[in-house]
Amino acid sequence: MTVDEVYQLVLYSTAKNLQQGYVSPDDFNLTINQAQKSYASYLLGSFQQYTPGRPIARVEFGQNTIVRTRLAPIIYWYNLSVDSFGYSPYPGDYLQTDAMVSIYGYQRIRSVQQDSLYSYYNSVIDPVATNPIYILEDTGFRFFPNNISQAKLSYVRNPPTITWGYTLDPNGIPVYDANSSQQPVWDDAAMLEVIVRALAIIGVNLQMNVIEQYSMAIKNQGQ
Amino acid sequence: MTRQALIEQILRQVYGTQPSDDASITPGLVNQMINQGIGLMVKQNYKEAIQLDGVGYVNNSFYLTYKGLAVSLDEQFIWKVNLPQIPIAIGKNEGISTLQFKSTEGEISKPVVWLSQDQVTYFQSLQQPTGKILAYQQGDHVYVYSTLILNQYTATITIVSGGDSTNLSSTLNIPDDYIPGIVDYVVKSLSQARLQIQDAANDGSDAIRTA
Repeated sequence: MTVDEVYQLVLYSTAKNLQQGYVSPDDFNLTINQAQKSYASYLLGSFQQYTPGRPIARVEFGQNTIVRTRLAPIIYWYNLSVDSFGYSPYPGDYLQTDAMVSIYGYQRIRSVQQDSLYSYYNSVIDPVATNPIYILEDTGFRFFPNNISQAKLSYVRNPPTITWGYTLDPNGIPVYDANSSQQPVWDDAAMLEVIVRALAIIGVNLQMNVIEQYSMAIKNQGQ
Repeated sequence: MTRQALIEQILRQVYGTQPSDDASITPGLVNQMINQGIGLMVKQNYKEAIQLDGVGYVNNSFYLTYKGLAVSLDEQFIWKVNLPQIPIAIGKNEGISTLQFKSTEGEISKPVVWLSQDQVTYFQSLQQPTGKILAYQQGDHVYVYSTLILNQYTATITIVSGGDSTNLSSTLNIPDDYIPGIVDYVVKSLSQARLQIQDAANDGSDAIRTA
């Protein structure tokens, strides 16, 4: 689904032709990007759905292949360079770790929380020298042992920005320009989920209950 | 079956699928528990032999021969051989079977005569049997009484052993009929560990528990 098709669908849903609302290209670009981030967040899992003793959301990353397939367009491999202190910064668009393995041979590097670092670091059954670990810090990963030098990261990134690019015709009306547009990376099924989220935002902005209700109905009951 | 294959089988049984990359039950942990499971099975085999035959012994399948072990001088006329592992504690010294010495030319001595710990204390008051090498085992060492210069030889020793536990690609030296017993022991222990509620907060008290 191209960004232009998405925009036309949004315009149609807001009943532009009935003069009930109009979503400008800039508003569309703003809301659609917010919506796709919201959708990515939804697929990664919502903490609010956790229950005591069961920290699992209704839908969350890693739950099954369907969720992973939806997220696949924003799952990337990245080779990390690790300095002599065991530190490597996050990739610029980093959202969440999927897997961390050695650069050769796909040997796992385990994620450890700071509160149990001591136990992992001093383990004699799984010494870190042969069973490397990492922790998350504010700006990057910290590896143990610190001489690991490289690692391979599979991660969920922020979705690339969607842009409905345009030029203005002599009447000042925006005309779609494919060259200056950025297409969505999502598949069509996922794109519809993104659109309903965008409509929810637009509905709030335009104070149009019908759009909000339509959006909620699709979100709750499926497409 | 290699150790790695059994470890993978156990991990898949414990997790019900292939374990994820951050699985806290690691191959190293399972490997360690397999060693303990082997000890359990050897003891069971020993007890079964007593129940069935009235004589305690361990089936040949559990034994493994290690060759080329270095011999060092411990004290005068006492020589020491480091074992690859502490033999299983069954009977007085059923865990260890045969010890021979081999020259660089390939000549092999007669097996040593084993002494139990109580015999070690009084045999020195007795006349030494001629042409016999006496030895006893403690922990992962064998001490050999001999006036011969033994450190010019290497030791060949047969002990109850599951094989080289440091090499996961090595063959696991356990007969198939006792592997389910090992699996049962390890899976049960690890499954129980998985059910424990974990303290996920470093808040100065492990009484507050969150999952």
